[in-house]
Amino acid sequence: MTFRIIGRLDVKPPNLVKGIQLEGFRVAGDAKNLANRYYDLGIDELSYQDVVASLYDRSPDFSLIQEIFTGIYIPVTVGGGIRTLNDVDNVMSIGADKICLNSAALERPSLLSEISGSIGQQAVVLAIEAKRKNGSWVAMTHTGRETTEWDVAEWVECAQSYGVGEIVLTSVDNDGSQKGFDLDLINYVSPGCEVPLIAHGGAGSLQDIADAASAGADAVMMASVLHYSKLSISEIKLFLGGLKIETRI
Amino acid sequence: MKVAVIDYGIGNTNKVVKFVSSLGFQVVVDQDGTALSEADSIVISGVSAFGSCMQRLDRNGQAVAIVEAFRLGKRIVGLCAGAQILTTQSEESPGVLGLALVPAATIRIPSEGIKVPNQGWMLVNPEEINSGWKSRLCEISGYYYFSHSYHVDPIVPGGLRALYSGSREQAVLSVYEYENIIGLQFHPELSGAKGAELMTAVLAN
Repeated sequence: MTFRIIGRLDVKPPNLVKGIQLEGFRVAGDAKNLANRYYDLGIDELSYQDVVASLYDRSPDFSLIQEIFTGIYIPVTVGGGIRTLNDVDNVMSIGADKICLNSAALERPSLLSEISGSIGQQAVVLAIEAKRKNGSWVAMTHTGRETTEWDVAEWVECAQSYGVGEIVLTSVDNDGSQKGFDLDLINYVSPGCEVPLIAHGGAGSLQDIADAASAGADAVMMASVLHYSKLSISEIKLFLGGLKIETRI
Repeated sequence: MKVAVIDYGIGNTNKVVKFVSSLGFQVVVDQDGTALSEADSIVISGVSAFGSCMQRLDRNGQAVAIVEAFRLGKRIVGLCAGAQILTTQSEESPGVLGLALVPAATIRIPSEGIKVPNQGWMLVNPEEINSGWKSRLCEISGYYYFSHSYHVDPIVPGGLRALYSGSREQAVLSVYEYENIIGLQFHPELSGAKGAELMTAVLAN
């Protein structure tokens, strides 16, 4: 299986935004333009995240999602504000291939099995916003606004028992820093992760990506480093190829 | 060249329809089996439970229509779960009979040495493509997107043409061909330009 490079599009409808430690979101470009550009340049997947839907108790912006991803023929994951089977159906029907859950899953984990039963386990992505606390990491919700009592490794174990297809592990502490992924976090979660694990939060250099792979990630998800053109998709894949880490070319 | 896409209320039919249209084919969406007679090729996609898929195909009258289309020699292309429902049965839904048009069953991917669901891009590389493959699958070599927990297992070795992808220790069946049926375990509609190229070759043949 190849190592995947996934582009992350944080959206505060209708704008593409980028924050630091999941805060202070600023407009960072045009979502549709960037989606198309990354697609043309060989990104493996795209992940759309509505960063205010949970916070404002809003539904996903269906028409915006449809507009951004029309004509894009790689996997698209949509998250942010998905709470019910109806939300899932709506999002899938307008172009999502996978749906991403965080807050709603923590509130009611059985939602994961309901959705898995409906659209297939492989299409259910669990997002975990992990923040350092007392020598370990806790799971946050609502785009890092609210904390829970869940230790991330325990939450992974619990969520997997309900049925998830893959896990996006976001380091809240490293997000937007471009100082590297939280490798300790990946090392902590990876052994108990039976499904593909996607590292997110902190990518800044080519070596960061290789380090995430060594720590046990099956893929990386990146935003600012791509949006601000610090790294290109082709140089990333070339670099990984040199380390015998297979990517889709 | 008319392509019928089976819509049975499961999975992303819209996306498959748009994908096939974008390749330049005329697409008709079938919801009850009646549109298959006017089509030259039939595409069956799908996700999730084998049992739910078969229940709907039977209820909609599409199951018998697909079998008839097979008998008439039309090209039938199964994508992902669509490739699986053409087999006899699946471990995913014990006791449910599939369309049983290909001599194979669907089994769960063994999880030793591979993460299940098998999710991501894999190289599909038919090194030993020869004239035994009827279709233009020689154009297939490339990376395609996979997202599945089950795969097709031939009942009798050599009973159908099968291609495997992945490591030697843990391979998944990525493509099969039997008579006028082609099964693709990956998603060509999610495999970028390569997926488009392949699907064009498969449908135009």
